[in-house]
Amino acid sequence: MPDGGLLPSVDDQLWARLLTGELDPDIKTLATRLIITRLRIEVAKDSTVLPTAVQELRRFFVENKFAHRDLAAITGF
Amino acid sequence: MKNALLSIEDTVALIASRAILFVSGPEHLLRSLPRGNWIGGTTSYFMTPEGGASREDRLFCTTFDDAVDARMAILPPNGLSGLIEHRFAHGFTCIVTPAFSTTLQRYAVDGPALPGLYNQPVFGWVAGVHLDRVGQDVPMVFDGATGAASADGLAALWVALPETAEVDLDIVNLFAPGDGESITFPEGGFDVTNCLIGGVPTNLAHYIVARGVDTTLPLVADYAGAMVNVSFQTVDAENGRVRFYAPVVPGTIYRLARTVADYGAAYAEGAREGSAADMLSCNCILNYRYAELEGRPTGGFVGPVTFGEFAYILLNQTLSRLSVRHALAA
Repeated sequence: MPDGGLLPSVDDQLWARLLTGELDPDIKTLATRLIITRLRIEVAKDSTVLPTAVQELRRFFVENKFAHRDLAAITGF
Repeated sequence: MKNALLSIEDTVALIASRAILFVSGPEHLLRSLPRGNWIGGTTSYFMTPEGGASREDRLFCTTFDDAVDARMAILPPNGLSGLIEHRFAHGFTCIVTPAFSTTLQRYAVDGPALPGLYNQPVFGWVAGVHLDRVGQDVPMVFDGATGAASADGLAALWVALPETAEVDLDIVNLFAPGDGESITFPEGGFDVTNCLIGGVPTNLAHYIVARGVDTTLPLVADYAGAMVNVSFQTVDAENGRVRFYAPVVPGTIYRLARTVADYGAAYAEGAREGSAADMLSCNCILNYRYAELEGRPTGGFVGPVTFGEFAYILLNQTLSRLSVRHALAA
């Protein structure tokens, strides 16, 4: 998935639900757990950063194959 | 990856063979090592196959025989972005920084937001001293390539791996959040006065003294499934201040910890399908003391006992471990 083509787009509400804590999937990878937590804290402090936080998290999955094991839990596919 | 607790002579021979090494041990031994492909930091305590031990005559060496290249440096407190900039396209980074240093404080606070930090494993630990000499001896880190030593830098070893290698970095925590009330902090940092306990403004130091809280147990926060500890360093009831070994983070929900009952089982589980003895690992001096690990094995994990651990971010009272697995080439 090098170009992120199979990932939900940045406009997909799934990312917002994940970063506001509404969606709390069973994440296995330590790096994914830590970046999601850092971004959740930033979003909780200032909701206007949500779009950039979504972009950063989506880019994390685009760039890191090792994190793809968490995608099924996040996307439900 | 190979681990061994070695004499100075054997360590020198390993360096002479051009091995790529992460070394821990007493300062006088680290200072006597020749230049080579290594970084190091001070500690007097180790996890060995026979159990926790304090040794002043040995160096713990992890050899990265999987590596295809390596580079090393000591980064200053204002140069931590170099940690990301200097890494290889495929590999991992080892770091060690002195306890009580500016660099440690800077990394603990700013490190979690370094751009790209989570794209590649960052394993490491905080250099310490013998517990009988805290305040007398100074924790140190070393860059074997230049022979430089530092009491306030971050020694980094960037390791390049073949494309067939997969790296797994994770933590083993003996603690989980307890059933008590939530604790949150309006401001972050290592030093704390006020917090909200169950939503009620409270002076944390006064609360701890009044309730007789056991401060050998850390605060624990759930980081999307990873249990992250913040350990108590001092409680100053007179001035109403608490100091931690890692910064608390505003917006994070902490609870006083409950202990995992069977630490042996917890460490064995932490190894998962791999062999713990073949992993790069470190464990906290507070676990060594409070869980009484001297002379007691830790599920096969071997390595330095440290004044703090890194798995991307600064951790307390935690075992950090990194393993390398080789997938079959296509």
